[in-house]
Amino acid sequence: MMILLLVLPLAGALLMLLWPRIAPLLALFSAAACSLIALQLLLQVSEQGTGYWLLAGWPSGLAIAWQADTLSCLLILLTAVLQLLVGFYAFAIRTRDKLSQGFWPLSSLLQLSLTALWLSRDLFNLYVCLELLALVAVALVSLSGRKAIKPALNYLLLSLFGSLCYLLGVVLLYGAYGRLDIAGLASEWQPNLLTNSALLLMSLGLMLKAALWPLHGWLPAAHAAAPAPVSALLSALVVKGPLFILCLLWLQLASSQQAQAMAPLFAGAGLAALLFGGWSALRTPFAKNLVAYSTVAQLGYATVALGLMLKFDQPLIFAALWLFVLAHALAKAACFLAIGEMSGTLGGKRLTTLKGASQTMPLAMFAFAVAGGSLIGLPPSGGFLAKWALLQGLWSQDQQLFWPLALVLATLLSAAYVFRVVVLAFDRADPVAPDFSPQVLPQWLALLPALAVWAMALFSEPLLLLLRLEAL
Amino acid sequence: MIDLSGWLWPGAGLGLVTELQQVWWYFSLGLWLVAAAFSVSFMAKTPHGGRYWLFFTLSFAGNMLLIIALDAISFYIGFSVMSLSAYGLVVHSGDKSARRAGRLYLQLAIVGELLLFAALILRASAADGQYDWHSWQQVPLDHLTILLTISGLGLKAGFWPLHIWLPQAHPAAPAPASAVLSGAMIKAGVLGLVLFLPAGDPQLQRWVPYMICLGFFSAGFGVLVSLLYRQPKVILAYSSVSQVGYILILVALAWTDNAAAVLPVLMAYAAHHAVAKGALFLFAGINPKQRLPAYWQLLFWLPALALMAIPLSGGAAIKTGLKSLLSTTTMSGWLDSGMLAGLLSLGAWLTAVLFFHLAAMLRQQQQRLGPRTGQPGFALYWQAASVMLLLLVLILLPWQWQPLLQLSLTTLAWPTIWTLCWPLLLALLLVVLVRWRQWQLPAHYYDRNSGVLLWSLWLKRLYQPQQQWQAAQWQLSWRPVERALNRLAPDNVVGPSALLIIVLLVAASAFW
Amino acid sequence: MSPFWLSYLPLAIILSSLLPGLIIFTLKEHQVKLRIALNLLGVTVKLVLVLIMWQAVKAGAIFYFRVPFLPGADLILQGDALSLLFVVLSSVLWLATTIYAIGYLENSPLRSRFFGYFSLCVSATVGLALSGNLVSFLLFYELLTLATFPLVVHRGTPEALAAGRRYLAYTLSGGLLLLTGVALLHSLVQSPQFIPGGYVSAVVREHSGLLQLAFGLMIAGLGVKAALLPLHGWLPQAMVAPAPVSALLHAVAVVKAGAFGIIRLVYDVFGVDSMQQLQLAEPLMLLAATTILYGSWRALAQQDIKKRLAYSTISQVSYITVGVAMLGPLAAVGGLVHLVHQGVMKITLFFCAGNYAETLGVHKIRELNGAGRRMPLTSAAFTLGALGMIGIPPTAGFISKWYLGLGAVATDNSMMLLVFVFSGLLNAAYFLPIVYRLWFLPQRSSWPKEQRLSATLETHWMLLLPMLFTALLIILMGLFASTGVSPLSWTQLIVEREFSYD
Repeated sequence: MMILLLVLPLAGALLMLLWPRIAPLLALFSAAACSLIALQLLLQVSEQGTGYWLLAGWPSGLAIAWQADTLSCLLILLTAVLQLLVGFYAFAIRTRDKLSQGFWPLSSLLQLSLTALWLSRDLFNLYVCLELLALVAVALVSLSGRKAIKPALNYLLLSLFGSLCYLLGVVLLYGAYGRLDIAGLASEWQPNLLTNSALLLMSLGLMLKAALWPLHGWLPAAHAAAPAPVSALLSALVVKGPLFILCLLWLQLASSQQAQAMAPLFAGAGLAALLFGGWSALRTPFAKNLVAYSTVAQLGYATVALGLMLKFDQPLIFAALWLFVLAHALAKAACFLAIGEMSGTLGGKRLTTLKGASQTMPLAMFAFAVAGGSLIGLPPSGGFLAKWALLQGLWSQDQQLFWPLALVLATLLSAAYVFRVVVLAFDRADPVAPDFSPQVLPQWLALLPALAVWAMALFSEPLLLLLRLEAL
Repeated sequence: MIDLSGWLWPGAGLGLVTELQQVWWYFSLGLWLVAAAFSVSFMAKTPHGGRYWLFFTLSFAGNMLLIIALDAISFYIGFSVMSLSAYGLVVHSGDKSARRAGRLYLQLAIVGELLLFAALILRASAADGQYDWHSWQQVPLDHLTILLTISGLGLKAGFWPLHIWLPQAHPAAPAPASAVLSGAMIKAGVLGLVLFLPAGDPQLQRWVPYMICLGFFSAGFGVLVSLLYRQPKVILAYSSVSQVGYILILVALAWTDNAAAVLPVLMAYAAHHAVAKGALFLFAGINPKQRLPAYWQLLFWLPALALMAIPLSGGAAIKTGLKSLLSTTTMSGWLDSGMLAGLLSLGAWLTAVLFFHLAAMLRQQQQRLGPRTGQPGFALYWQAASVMLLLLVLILLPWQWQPLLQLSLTTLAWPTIWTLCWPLLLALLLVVLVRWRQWQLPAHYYDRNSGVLLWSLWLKRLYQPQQQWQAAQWQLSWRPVERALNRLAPDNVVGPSALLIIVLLVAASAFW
Repeated sequence: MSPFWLSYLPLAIILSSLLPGLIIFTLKEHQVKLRIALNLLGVTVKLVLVLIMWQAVKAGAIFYFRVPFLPGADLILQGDALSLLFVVLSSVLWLATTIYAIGYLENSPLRSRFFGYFSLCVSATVGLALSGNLVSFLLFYELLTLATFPLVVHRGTPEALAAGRRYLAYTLSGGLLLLTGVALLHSLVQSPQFIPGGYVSAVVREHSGLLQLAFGLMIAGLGVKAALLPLHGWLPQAMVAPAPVSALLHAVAVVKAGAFGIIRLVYDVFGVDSMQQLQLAEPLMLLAATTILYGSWRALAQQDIKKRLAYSTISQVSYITVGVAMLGPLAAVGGLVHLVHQGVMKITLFFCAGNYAETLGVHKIRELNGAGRRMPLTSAAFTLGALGMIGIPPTAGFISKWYLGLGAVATDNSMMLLVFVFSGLLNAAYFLPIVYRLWFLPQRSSWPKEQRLSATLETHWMLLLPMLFTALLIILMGLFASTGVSPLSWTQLIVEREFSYD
């Protein structure tokens, strides 16, 4: 069954190239089917435990090995569902925003590469997925036309550079150990200069791709330049891929000594990302840049959680990390869709275009506000859940005062930039009139993930338990 | 007696249970009704009539409620309603002096209210959540409670040094209002002092001599200051200050074990003063309206002589009673009965001086009105009739009312008459002498504004500030700094990012 | 009475305002009748449900409704005596405020949105009152912040937006501090249900420092809404909101939510014994006492009616905190009953201020001269409210001050008695001049913006009726404080239960 998850998007993409007219239908169909399968898989894995699976029946070591644990399944499900949702959105606005035909096959390829990435547990496989992911993402960004060329090019160059770094690390490891599957490597792992350098190289490459501070420079421009559905996908899913690999590297490969040495750096970088990203989001005059900077900031939470996880080795913090990722994916998708919808309808990319949006486009604004609530971490949203888990993990360590307080400060910043938009939307003095009457369906589609991220709270207990078990 | 404890708070009840309450009830009720009758004509055709009657009724109700209250909270409710509504009476005329006086009155009324509140809280805590007078009798006092009670209620009673509002507020109010202010409301404070502080309490005993001294001082002070004023109502107000001094002495005596003997005199004094002072204030309202026939002076002289304690009047009976009480009470060494008797005689002399002074001022007021223009109209007769009603009570009281009758009978002996009369004669002599020699103080000594008004104004400015400290508003301008930083930021991201990675790599490998 | 649906009663009470609110959002602007009907329906249903619950709780029952949420912290709705105090207060005042708001906002734009958020706000408040553990409380606390924000900025003017920003900055920071504190406490003792006597006593010895920290964080978080001293800045600025919203902020929902949280925290989370062992009550009491005096002092200089009322709220709400922090039964009665009394008095005052603004266009105190002649009923209600705030008998304010005073003496905090007396003086100093202007000064010139809203009455009947109702309550609650239906007797019941846990 797992194979379907990969085959469907791949076959879909090929068919779309052949028969562009039904491309949207195909894309939606494959995404819907994948969602169902992913759900099935999740239930199965959570009942029967992690599933292993070798491609085409080759023996271990030679074959491409897949591993589906709960975390992977959750991420696959998330990918498929968001794909479906964004697909719907793109379909709903197809007459208004002339999305190029390339969107549909590319988005299917994106799904393919991400699904493969979540399932891989082999450094080289991961590299391939990463490369594919990056290429597809760049192509998607460039769909916007001429104005997106420069950001897309920057993205491509840096992405290649990052891949190169990663590949160098992989080569070093292969030269030393002669194998690349993570489980095998972990069993033979020696903390020495070579593995140190390999880890460093790979980490830096991945950080560049995941846009972790201080290597986030390309992200705001790229995400802001892309069309709304694409930015939603990029922010929600694509940057999470490298982050996933980073986690695998440090949590499963690195020795505790290495992890301890790296922990403060990650945590510090995360905090810096939170502060810097938050501040930039607070100051930028453009609506989509605000959301993009917010991604930089929110990735900071994940980085902080990674750093603290390495330091304290506390399963709750691991759960917090992935809860951040899940909540952020849903919330950010909603934000980008909502902002895209509003800037599209009100006509302008500046924030001031949103003046009075609470009157002119109440639904989209509501979606943004609800998603923003999760970004801030208001209860009972997914963001709250993540923050709660992180705080619980931190408080259970003795004498930890700095990090909780730092997180509070960072949260305040995120509240500030979210409500910067909301307050503007309530400005009734001189509202911006929409260029044409707002469409209702896309606004609802933007609202859906926002509601979903709040609905996460309903499943908070199982989610926390699942992710905590994963870390052990 | 109406028991409300089921509805309201434990011990709540209304009723005229003790004789003290009955006496207070009747003289207050009478005075209020007469004042109301007087107002009907006196306040007719003046602006804001509705407002006047509203506050009049409210303070009437409050006054009556506090008298029939059987527990402290009901008393406090009545007391507050009365004090606050009386503000409406004080400022009624709306002119500058009335507003000034009203402000002072209200300031002190609120202060008194809150002091009393604190005293009540302390007292109720000591009494373990019981509020009725009966339970309070058994609970011992402490000095803080006594101090708070005396100052809280004393602000209403108006003896020195808590009298400061009184000479301002009483003259400012319309005549009938001044009558009840001076006649009934002051007595409410006195009633409270008797009810709140149980007789025979050991701590309270130590206050008695000081309160007696305070009373005497107040009695003398009121008179001496009144001589510096020329408006009849101000003089009357100071007379109240002085009379309350005597009442305070009686209250202090009532706090001793000898309460049973003191209370009748206290009641008689309060009732007598209420009626007489009420009549005087009402007359002071009539006097400046029109040139009156000479025989109308009777309306003044009857109550004045009664207060001067001329033989056969109620005043005489009461003064005698007071004297005998003081002579039988044993005080600590320095306050012997001989000295007290001397002080009383001095007081009687001073009182007489005050009223001669008042009479002169009333006559001057009449003379300023110019020659007579005609017979008094119906309104004036109606008002005079109201005063007459009070005078009737005043004349009949000593001979019809049992407690006072016994005292009155004792005054009929010649020695007593002589002791009563010589201070009056002396006073008359003095007044005649002053008149003959034309002794007078320089003009600027007279009718000075009280310094307390300045204090009141200062207080008002304090609590109605136009400017206040504001938290500083920091207006740091970040924008230029931010701009400069933005300019520093590189235009292209590729090069710097790649460079950063290399730098980080090198740095990490160097330190690791 | 079947136990099945009774266990859903707390949920139903919340839904009775939440559902109409959500429906109202979808209504068109011109569907006035439907909107009013929905509003009133919600209020009526809620009052009936609350009545049912009240009967049962009086008989000794406690309602629970739980949904799994976080590990060790379910979402719990709990209907006990204390929560009911707040629920009844907010439901009854919601009724008054709804009617008032319908009259106040007649013919103004965006009413669907307004009433939608209005209902959300009340739902959050009631949820907060009914929440059965700290995590549920936190949840509703944040929801309340969010639901109130659109109301504060409803006018959409620059001042309103600035006030809204300020409001958010304060309340969101407060919410975060509360979250941090709750998380800390959760990591120590989990978040069980609120229980008289608290649940931290087991770890007091071991973790006293952390407990103190958690308490401090949570008080700081709650103190923002309760307008404790350094955190009060949002309240005076939020007075730019329409009068019904101010009424809601000051009397029904926001400020009260903070005070209620402090009550819960002190009695049902930490408990009196632990509070004493940890020595937490004294600083809280001193802080609240300072707030009382500071608020009153700042109120003196305010020339805007609503601003003066706002500072007055800052001062008055701290009475509740002081009463709670004195840790004695009598003081607790005073504090708890002031929760209700302050609400009723302050809402009356805000209704009056709204009436002056709406009918005469008067916003400044100096413009009020002679308003007593033009609007006698409003002015009478204002006078009553002001006297209540000063604590003059027989108003409700006197009752709360009385018990606070008794409590202060009973717990050997005679200094607090001094504070109450002095604050009473200050209250008189800033309220009585207004009353004086209303009744005793002649009108200066024509009113700034007069409207004839009614042919016979001084203003629209919908503006008058709620105000007269609450003004009547001030007197009734003061006079009949000892009867079985009064807030006082209910608080005595609560305190009996809270203080007799062992």
